[in-house]
Amino acid sequence: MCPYEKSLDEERKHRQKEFKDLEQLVNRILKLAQPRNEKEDLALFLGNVLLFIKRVEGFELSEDEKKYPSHSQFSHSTLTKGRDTVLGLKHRLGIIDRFNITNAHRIIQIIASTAVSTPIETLSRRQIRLILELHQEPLLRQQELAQRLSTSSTVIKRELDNLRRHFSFAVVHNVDFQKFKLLLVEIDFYTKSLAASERLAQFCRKTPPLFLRRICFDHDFRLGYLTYQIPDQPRGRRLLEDRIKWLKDEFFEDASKFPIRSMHIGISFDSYDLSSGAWMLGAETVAETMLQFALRETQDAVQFRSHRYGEALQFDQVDYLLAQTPIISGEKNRLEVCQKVLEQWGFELATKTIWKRDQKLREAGVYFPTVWFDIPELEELVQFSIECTPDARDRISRIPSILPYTYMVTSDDGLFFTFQRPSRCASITGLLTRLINREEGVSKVTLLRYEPSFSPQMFTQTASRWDSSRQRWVLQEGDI
Amino acid sequence: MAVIANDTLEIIEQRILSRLMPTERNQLASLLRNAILFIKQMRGEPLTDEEKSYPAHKLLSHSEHFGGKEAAETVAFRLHLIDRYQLQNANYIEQIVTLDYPAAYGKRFTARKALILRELYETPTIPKYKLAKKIGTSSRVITRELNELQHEFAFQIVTSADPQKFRLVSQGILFRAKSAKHSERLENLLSNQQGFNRTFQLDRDMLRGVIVFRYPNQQKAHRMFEERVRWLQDEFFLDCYLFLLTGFHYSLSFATYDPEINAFSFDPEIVSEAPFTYIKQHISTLPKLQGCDYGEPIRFDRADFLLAHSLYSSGYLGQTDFKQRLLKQHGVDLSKKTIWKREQRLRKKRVATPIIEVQIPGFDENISFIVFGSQEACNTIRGIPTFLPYVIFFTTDSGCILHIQRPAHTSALTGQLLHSIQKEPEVSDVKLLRYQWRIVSTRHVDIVDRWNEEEQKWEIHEGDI
Repeated sequence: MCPYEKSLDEERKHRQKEFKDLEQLVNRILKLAQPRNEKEDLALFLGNVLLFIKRVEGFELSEDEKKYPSHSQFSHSTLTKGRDTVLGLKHRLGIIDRFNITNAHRIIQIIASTAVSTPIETLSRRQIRLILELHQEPLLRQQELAQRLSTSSTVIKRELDNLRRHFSFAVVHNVDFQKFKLLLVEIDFYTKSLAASERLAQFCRKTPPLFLRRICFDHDFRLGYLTYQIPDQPRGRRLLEDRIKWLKDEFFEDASKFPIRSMHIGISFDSYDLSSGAWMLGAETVAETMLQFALRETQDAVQFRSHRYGEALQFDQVDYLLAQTPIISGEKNRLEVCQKVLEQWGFELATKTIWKRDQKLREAGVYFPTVWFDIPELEELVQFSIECTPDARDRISRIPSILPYTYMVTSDDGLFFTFQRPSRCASITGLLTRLINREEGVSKVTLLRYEPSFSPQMFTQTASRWDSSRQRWVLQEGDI
Repeated sequence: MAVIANDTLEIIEQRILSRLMPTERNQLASLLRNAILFIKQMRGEPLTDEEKSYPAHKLLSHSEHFGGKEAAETVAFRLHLIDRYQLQNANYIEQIVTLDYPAAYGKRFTARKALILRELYETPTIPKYKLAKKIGTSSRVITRELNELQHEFAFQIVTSADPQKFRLVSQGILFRAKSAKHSERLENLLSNQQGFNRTFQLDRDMLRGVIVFRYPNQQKAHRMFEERVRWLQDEFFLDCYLFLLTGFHYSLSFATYDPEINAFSFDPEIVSEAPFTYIKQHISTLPKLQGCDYGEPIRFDRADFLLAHSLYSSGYLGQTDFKQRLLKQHGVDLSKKTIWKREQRLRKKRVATPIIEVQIPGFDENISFIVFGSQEACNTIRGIPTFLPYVIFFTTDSGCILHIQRPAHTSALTGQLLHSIQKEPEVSDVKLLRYQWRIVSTRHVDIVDRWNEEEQKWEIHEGDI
């Protein structure tokens, strides 16, 4: 045997030994896995993983092994990736063994979730154009889109499917609550202690006020905000004041209240480098330049879509419930869904009547459709709450024009914006804080990174409190 | 978002140049021309003879075929960005055009690089030939890999000297400022002051931060520090906590590096939930962190102090020539052999710790947990670095500090780790900081002349702390 063949032989032996160790490791994982009734599925899954590794390593498969049935989440016979995938799989099996993970479902999740979805998703030039067109006119038909992009409807359909699958793309119909005589109020807070935060979360979970819509905490679990939709009536406002006073006594060290007047969605791909898939905001010089420009220039082509909350309508409970039933683009059976929701509340309406009612609401401007998607390389959601003069608000509200995806609301005393921060661009948050703080007329800037928030009450729960004949909300103690 | 056509690029070039001052215009004209010629060439457009002979620029040359089509489009995109945002600062423009950002973005961190770093972490002073032998490759490959690490992942070996051995204390103040404007004023103030070393780090919210004062372990200095804290409280702080740094440790681990996706892959839930049970069960067998608890003062002179601060450093700081010149600047004339002997003695006395500095692949942000709690709680927290790529761990008199380089796509880790640490029974409080700005006011070389060798004490002046 020549030295070259000898070294090949040694390497083969080494790999075979490694594989045996891996088999032992898999057996160990299988032995400890819980619950018992899922063990069979896990065995099938891990069997596929081992066979896949064997194939990539170039080991011969027996006839039985070749016929081994596929698993729904991982099949040794369909994957064609190379040695890197094998290294990745070994690495994950090692983690499962090392950290003693025994839940069968979790084991499959850890291996399958990332085993195949390796490349970082990037947007194409056409997808970006499609998003920007729909951002300006969310209800454009596919044929119109095809015409604008000089392509076929089939291509548009395929691109939209890709966007939905990889970037959670959707056209969302936001509701103008002011038209239903509700006022959106955000209360920013900093709690007295961690224990106070725990107690506040408990309160919102166990005895949530009817008109409380959302509670959200920062990573540090001290900073956060509450969103209320209070009836726009003197009693509603009074009850809110009482509630804030109570919250301050019980939980808050500091709190500010902002009634929301309008909402804006901004999308910008200005800093997205198509050829590398990188967001240039990660480079401080670029980020600073863009931020300075946004603050300085008034005539920028801001890609905002804005909606100012309007005057209250004449409406009944059916209208309110209809508006609360989410419309997501592509949802074909909306009328049936609405019918079911209405039935739960004791209203029996034909789908045709529902359609007519819905059209009436659309014409009255109750819905404000916008596009939603996860930007490529999305790392976290960051929110800025800014207390400032109207002048400063107008200047600062131009900043989101350079950020990838921003949701912004304005109030009389300032503004909030939440933006999707791409990974490797953490410094943009610090730069934003610094530059906004330097603006004249700014009195306070609060930076908040979202932890998963929760909505204590369903929107529809409030429907029963609407008195259609007197066109007013009926409020009870503890509702706010 | 159309492809930027060649003639549009020419217009962009003119527009960028027209916004600059005449002197800066000259500085940038050659760079921009080279950039455009490079784009044209990569797009396969023929160049005229005049264009072909256009002189190369030192930072970006059209005649060197680096990158490829994608790199050319990136450069085109950047020119468009500079024009659209009307950038007028020549240095910034130069930086943006030549920035290695997208290249570094997708750089592959090979298994070999991980292996090299692991070996260096275990034995930072290992000679290259031994390192090559251990890894099973040649010294030339090691040199190439180290160069790549240095350029693409900011790799270097630095030295962390034990302050206590040199009769200095490191006293930290964790503060919440009255407002962002107060923080900015404090930042300006500290960056312009002389005296003993101060490190100022500010969170991205500009309201929270840490100042570490390194000052003589002498009565007068302690008194001055107390006065300084009182003044800071009155002027800038809403509240503050003091802590004394008592040890420095760090950990570099590639256990969770996934070569398939070229990133650290770990489930934040595993890292935050499993470890505490796991650590407690396996505490005796967990890999040890590198570093040490600060020790008793030694007898030293100015040369020892200077040498100790670059004892293990790589690059020019590690070169004996440089050290010899530095010592000479401070009136100490030593031969290379004496320097070598001195360094051996200092290493034996363990006056410093070598640290591998590297930016982990897919790095997203720096986060710190400042933990107040019992020794027992800190011993458990000390096990967390085993599961994370790069962690610096300080022990303090009231707990510990965990400083983490967090990889991309693991943002949930921050909250989950925080909650897990909070839940530890012996932990009384945890503060989370995300640093962005770091200012170091003075370096060790700036204070060396204050050391009185005969009396073995530091000379302290008004305003030093």
